[in-house]
Amino acid sequence: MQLYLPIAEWPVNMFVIFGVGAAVGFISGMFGVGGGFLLTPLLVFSGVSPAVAVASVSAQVVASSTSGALSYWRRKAIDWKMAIYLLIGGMLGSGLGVMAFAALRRVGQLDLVIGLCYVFFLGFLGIFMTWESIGVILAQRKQTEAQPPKKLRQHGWMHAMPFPVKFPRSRLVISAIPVLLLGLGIGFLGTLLGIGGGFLIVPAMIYLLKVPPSVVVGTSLVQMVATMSFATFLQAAQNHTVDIVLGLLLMIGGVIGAQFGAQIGQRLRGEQLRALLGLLILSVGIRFAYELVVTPSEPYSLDRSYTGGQP
Amino acid sequence: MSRTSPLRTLAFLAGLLAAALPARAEKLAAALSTPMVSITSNFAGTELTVFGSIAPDRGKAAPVGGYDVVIVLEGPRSGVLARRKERIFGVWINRSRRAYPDVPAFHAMASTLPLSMVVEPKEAIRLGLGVSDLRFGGHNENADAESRDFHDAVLRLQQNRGVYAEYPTSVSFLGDQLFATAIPIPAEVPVGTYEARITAYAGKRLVAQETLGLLVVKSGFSQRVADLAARWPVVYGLLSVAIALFTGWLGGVLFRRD
Repeated sequence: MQLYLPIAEWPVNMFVIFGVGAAVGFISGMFGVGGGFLLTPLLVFSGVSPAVAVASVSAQVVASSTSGALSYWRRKAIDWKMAIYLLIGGMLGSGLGVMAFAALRRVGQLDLVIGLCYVFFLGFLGIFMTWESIGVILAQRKQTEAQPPKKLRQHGWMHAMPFPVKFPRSRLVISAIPVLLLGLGIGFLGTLLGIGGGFLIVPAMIYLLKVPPSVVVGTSLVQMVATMSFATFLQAAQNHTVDIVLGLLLMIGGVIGAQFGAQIGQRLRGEQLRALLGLLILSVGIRFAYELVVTPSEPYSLDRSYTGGQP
Repeated sequence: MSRTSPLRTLAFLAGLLAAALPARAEKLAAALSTPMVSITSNFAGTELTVFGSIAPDRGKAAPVGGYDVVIVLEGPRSGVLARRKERIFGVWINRSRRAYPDVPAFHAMASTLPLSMVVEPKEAIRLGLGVSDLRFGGHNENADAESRDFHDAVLRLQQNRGVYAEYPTSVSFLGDQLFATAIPIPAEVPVGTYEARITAYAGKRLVAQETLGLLVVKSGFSQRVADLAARWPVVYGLLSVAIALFTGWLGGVLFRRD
């Protein structure tokens, strides 16, 4: 069934968009990531302009993160203090991201920067996660003794930084600086790339901040709800690029898909989940690298929103 | 002097008459099936029927080969920036670009016969009949190769998007005088003020023309959403966030299993 998107000014097949939302929602529920890094490219591929796709996906990320965050809240698997530190940085980063987005769009290099960022972040992260989790899986095959529960940790270079903050829920004492910077970086990239940034923040919290895996996903979801709400508002108010009809379709598909994904995700072990997510991230990164390097069948492109002035 | 005056006046009047009335005068009347195309939420494209009649003036004979009709439906002209990717350090990057201030957002051509059989190429370009006859950004036949590449690319990309199209031989005559065609309006049709230009030819010569207006507008829900977003961006932004939070919450409640 055809549906006309009022802001994108583009007709789409309602069930295709709904299905894409559900499929990506399934993946997001399974891994605790927003899924924006899959959704935005898929929308652009189906004819929606990158600007509208990025902005509308941020609305979808809000919805999918909200239902996820609520479920982790009920299970008390959220470090609220850390979430607040992250989202303070996140909102600042999001504001910068909206500005960078508009500036890159003006000079016609938005697609290139999005492509390069995807290749860089997805490529490295995909390789790292796959490598690390396969290592864990192989090590467990050899020895299966349980590790002792860890005490409050103070971590090397993080400890050396000023403004140490105690995060009791995460049993962690670290400087506020890396937490704020992480929030800022994720907020910036998330807004610029039209992704929640879950696939970046989850590993960063695990590997860099050493937050226990049990609270990582819930905490990152809270951060995403707040940061992406802010991003959605800014994109709508400033760039006029949020198509709420498109967003709503993706949300409904995504929320439903996420429920089923979450159930599957709970049955898998952490390292299995990480290996699968690593492979998925890596394949999206390779797809973008391929697009950047291979001779395009159509080297020309049109910017129909051009309104005059010197390009 | 006074003897030649009436003759001169007569000659002058005859000349005026000749200028005002071409050797063959045709009567062309045309109409559109609708003056307005409304884009509603479930708009999946439509058809615009253009019909009319062409007849020689009273007392004159119809041309031997009959008439040919060319109908051009053109959307509003607006700015388009064309970019070309070039390979730099192995990566394809947008490098050169051309700005065109006056590219038609939509162009459809329907005719009784392929254009080359109806009209001289120069005349087709002058009237901007076919897709390849379109000219914008001051483009002309003396342009350098790169300008031509860019110009062609715009035409090609617009065709790929479905907003430029040609339907040769789609205009049919019902009898000698009545003609009709249905021009497909794709779902991707841009909004704005359109012009339908109906031209009639006999022996590759333009004999009559008429221009009709058409509006393409968003209506109903689509229009209300677009209006809200444009006029009240802050309200629209807050509403978008509220909808997203509510949908997420609702999903969590509906599917709660713990």
